Amino acid sequence: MKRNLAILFMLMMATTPAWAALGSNVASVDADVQAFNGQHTLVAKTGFNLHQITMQDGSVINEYVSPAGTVFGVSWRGHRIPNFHQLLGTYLTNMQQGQRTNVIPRRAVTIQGTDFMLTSFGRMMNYQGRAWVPSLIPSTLTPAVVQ
Amino acid sequence: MRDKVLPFSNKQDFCTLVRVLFIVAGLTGLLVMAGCGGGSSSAPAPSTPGVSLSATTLTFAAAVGATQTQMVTVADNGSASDSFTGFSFSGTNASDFSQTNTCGTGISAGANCTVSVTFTSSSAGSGLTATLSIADNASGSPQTVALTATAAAPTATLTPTAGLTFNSQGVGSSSAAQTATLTNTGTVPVTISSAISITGTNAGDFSQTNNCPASGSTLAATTNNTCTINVTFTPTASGTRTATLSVSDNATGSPQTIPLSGTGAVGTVSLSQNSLSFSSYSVGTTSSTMSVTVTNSPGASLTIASIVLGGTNPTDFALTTGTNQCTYAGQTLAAGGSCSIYVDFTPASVASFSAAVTITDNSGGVSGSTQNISLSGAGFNNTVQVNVSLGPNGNIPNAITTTVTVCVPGTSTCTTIPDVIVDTESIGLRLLASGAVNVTGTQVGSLGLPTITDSSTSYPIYECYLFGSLDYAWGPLAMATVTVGGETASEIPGAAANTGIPIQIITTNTPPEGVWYPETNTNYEEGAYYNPCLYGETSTGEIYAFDGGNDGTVSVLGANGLLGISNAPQDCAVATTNYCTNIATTDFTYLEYDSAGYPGSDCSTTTTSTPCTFVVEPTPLDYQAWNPVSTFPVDNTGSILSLPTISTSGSPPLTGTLTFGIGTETNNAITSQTVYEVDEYGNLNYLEYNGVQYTSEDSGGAFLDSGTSFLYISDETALSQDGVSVSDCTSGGTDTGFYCPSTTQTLPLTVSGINDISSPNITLNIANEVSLVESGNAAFNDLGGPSCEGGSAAGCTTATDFWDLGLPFFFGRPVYVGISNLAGTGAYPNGYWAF
Repeated sequence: MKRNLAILFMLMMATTPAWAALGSNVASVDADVQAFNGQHTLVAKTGFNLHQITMQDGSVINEYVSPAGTVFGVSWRGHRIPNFHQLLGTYLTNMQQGQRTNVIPRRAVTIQGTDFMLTSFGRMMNYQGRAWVPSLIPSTLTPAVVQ
Repeated sequence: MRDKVLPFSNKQDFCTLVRVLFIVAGLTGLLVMAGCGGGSSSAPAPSTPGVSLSATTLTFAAAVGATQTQMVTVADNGSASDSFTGFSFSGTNASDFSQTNTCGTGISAGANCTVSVTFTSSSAGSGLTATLSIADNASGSPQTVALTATAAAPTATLTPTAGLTFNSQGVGSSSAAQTATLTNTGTVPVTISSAISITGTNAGDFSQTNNCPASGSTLAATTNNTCTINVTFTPTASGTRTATLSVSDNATGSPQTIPLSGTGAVGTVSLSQNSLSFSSYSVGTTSSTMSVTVTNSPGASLTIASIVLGGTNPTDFALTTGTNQCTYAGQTLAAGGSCSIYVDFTPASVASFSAAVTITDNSGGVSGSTQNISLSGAGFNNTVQVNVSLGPNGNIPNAITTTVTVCVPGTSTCTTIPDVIVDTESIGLRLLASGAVNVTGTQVGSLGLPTITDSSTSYPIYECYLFGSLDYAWGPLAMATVTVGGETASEIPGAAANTGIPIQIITTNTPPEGVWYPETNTNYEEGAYYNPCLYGETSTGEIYAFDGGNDGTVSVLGANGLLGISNAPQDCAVATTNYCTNIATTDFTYLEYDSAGYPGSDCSTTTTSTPCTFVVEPTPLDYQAWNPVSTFPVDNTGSILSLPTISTSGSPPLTGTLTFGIGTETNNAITSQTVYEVDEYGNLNYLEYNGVQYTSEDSGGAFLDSGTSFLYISDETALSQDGVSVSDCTSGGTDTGFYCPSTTQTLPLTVSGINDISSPNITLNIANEVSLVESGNAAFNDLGGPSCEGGSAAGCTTATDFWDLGLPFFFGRPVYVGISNLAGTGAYPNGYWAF
C-alpha cells in the first residue's frame, strides 16, 4: 500500500528539507534545480545574475541573485503553478500573512506581506507570477527587474 | 305535223319563258318554273299558232340503271293558241326515254309549258339516240328534239391516293386539317350512297368535315365534279395511329378509300433532380430555397394536374415562389417547355425530416402519372441564450451567464442550474455542490452524480482547480450528462454511450490535508504534509502558506458555476500534450485520496485538522474536467459568443447567443472573421500597442476572456502615457484598480495569431468606471483597469503586464473559440480565436 510506504518514508526522511531559494544564498538555487528537475542556465545581467530553471514541461523559473549572492526575487511562467514551498522558502510565512490586493477575480492577485511582494496571474495551462523581497533588492535595481 | 299524237292529260296555257332544267336522276320532284301555268292570256286569239322549243337537242349521261331528266320548254310564240296532239319518241333507242309534260291539250298564245324528258338506260352504251316529237297544230309540226345519251359506269377517285399522313401530334390535341378530294372521274354522276366515314383501327383519332353531296345525292361529272373532305388528326394515344377515309357511292370500286395515319405524341417529364437534400438548419429557421426544374419533352404538351407536398414530414417543408415557377395547382406545359418547383425547409425540431413533392400529370401519355421528388433535411439546435447582467449577487458588471442542465448519466434524474458563468478562459463545467441560487430543483451535490474513481487505484479523483488569483475550486470529479441549450453531452468521445462527461462539483469544504508521497516527483517532499489547494506547510506542518479562498459559494464565485469553453478539450492538456500525466512535473491539480487507513475520516469532507493520504497518479484525459463543447455529438469544434453592440454609456441587462460548433452547421461558419491561432499558453501570438508587442515570452501575454468583466491592460503604455492612472478613480473602496479618465480614452491596437496573421486595427475604449457603474447599467463595453497596478514602483513593466481582454471586447463582435484537436491534426492544433 502506498499509504504505508508514505508513512515509512515519512519516518525515515530527514526533517530539514532542501528549501530554496527566495532570501537564501545563491547555493540554494541548486536545490531548486534539483527539486524542479530542471535545466539550469545562468545569464549575467547588469547589476544581478539571472538563474533560469527550465522544467521538463517547458515551465520556467527565474531566480534573481544580487551581487552579494542573495536571491532577491523569483518568477515563474508555465502550465502549472510551482511549489511555492520550495520556491519561497521561509518567505511562505510572509506570504501567508500578507494582504490580497488588486484582485482580478479568478485571474490575478497581488499579495503584499511584510518585506514581501508576490503577484500571480493566469489560468490553467498558463500561470505566471513573481515574488521579491524589497529589502534584498540591490539599490541599483528596482522590482521591475523581476520579470 | 301530227305524226304521233298523245292524249293530253290536262290542258294549260303556254308560258313565254323557256327553260331547260337538268334534273339529276333520283330527284323525285319536278320543278315547274314560276309563272308557268298561271293565268290565261287575254290577247285575242291569233290567227296563226307558232311554237318554239327551248332546246332542239338534249344530251344525256347517266349511270346504267340511273335516270336523268331534262326539261324542254314549249312556248307559243304565235298569235293563236296552240293545241297539242301528242308527245312521242322515235329512233333507235326510243325505249330508253320517257316524258311527262305540263302542256295538256294546248296552250294559249304567248304561254308555255314544260316537257320533262327522262333517260333511263338498262345497259351501258354511248351514242344512244332518239327523237322527241311534239305534234301540234302549229306550223312545222311536229317539233322535234334530238336526244343523245350515254349510259356509263360511274367512276370516282379519292385523292391523294397515298393517303393523308399527319406529323407527330400531341395526344389530345388536334392537328391542322388536311384535305382529301373526291373527284368524279367519269362521264356520269356519282351517287353518294352513305355518309362519308372514317373507319379502321384508330378511327376515333381522326375526324372530317366535307362539302360533298349528302348521302343519296350525286356528284356531277365534268363540271363541279369534285368535293373536298377535311381531315383532322386528334390522337388519343401515343404511337402510330391509322384509320381509313371511306366514301361509299355507286362508282366502280366503291367505297373509295385512302389511308390515314399519324403519330400520337405525348409529353414526358424529366426532372433536373429527383431529390433535394437540405443540409441541417437551426430549428425554426428557414433554409435557402432549393429548386427542381420540370422539363417537358418536345413534341407534345404536358398537362400537370397538381404539384403537392406529401410524405412523412410535409409540414417542415414548403413549396414557395421563384422564377418561372410551376403553377402548383396545375398547368399545361408546352412541348419542350419547363418550369421550376421551389422548396423551403424549416425544421420544427432537432430531428431528421423527409417529405416528397408529387407531380401528377399525363407524362408518357398516361393520365394520372406521378413523379416524386424526395426531400430531406435535419434540424439542429446549437445555441443557448446568454445573459449579461450584474450577476446573482447584483454587484458584478458584465457578468455573463447561461443555464446548464446536468443529469445522472442514463437517467432522467436531472437538475437545471442557471447563473453559470460563460468563461472562454477556463475549461470544464464546474458547479457548486450546494447553495446555488435561483435553482428550483435539486442542488448538484445532492443529485447523486457518480463520482470518478481511478480504475487502477480505486481511489476517487478530486481536483483543486487553482485560479491565477490563487483562490480555488475544490471538489470531486463526477460524471454527468450535460445539456446546454440545444446540445447535450452524453459521453466523452470513444466512451460507452450515456456514461456522461467529467465535471467538477465544487464544494465548500476546505481541502483536507494530505500526506504526499509521489515516488518520483521531486517538487514536493515525500511524506510531508500538504494541502492541495493551500500550498504547503510551515515547519510545524500546521500552517499553510496561503489560503487564497474557496470559491465554493455564490457569494465568492458570483455565480452557480463555471462553464469553461476555452480552446482545449480537457483542462490539463494543450494540443498533443497532457500535462497531468507526468508525475515528475505535475502539481496537485488532480489527486486521489486514500482514506482507508484513517478510520472516521472522509477525505472528501474532512477538515485540515484530520490528515488524509493523497496520491498523485497520472491523470488520463478521461478523468479530467472536459470542455463540454468538445463532447457534443456534432457541434464540438468550438463555440461562438455573440453579444450585441451597445452604447458607450452601457446597457441594462441584455441577452446574447452562444452558438456551438464552428463550421459544422449553416449558422456557425467562419465568414468574415480572421483566425488567430493561440500559442501553447492559450495566448495570442502578440498584442501590439504603442509599438510594443506583448507576447507570452516577453510579457504576460494577451487573451480573450469572457469570464472577466473589464479590459485589463498594460498600465505601462496604455493610459498612463495620457496622464490617466487608476488614482483618478475614487481612492479606496470598490473603485480601486480601475480607470476613471475624464474623457473616454481610445486604445488602437492590433493582434496576431501564431499562424502569422495580424488583425486590422482594433480600437477599444476605456471610460470612467465610476460614472459607468453608478449609471445603474449592467453591460459595458468600455470598463478598464491595469493588469499590473502601481507602475514601476510596484514592479510593473511591459514585460510583466498582460492584456486580459474581458467582456467589453466581445460586444458587437462575435468571437469564435476554436477548440484544439488533441490528436494533433487540423489546422490549429493549439486552438484559435476568430473575430
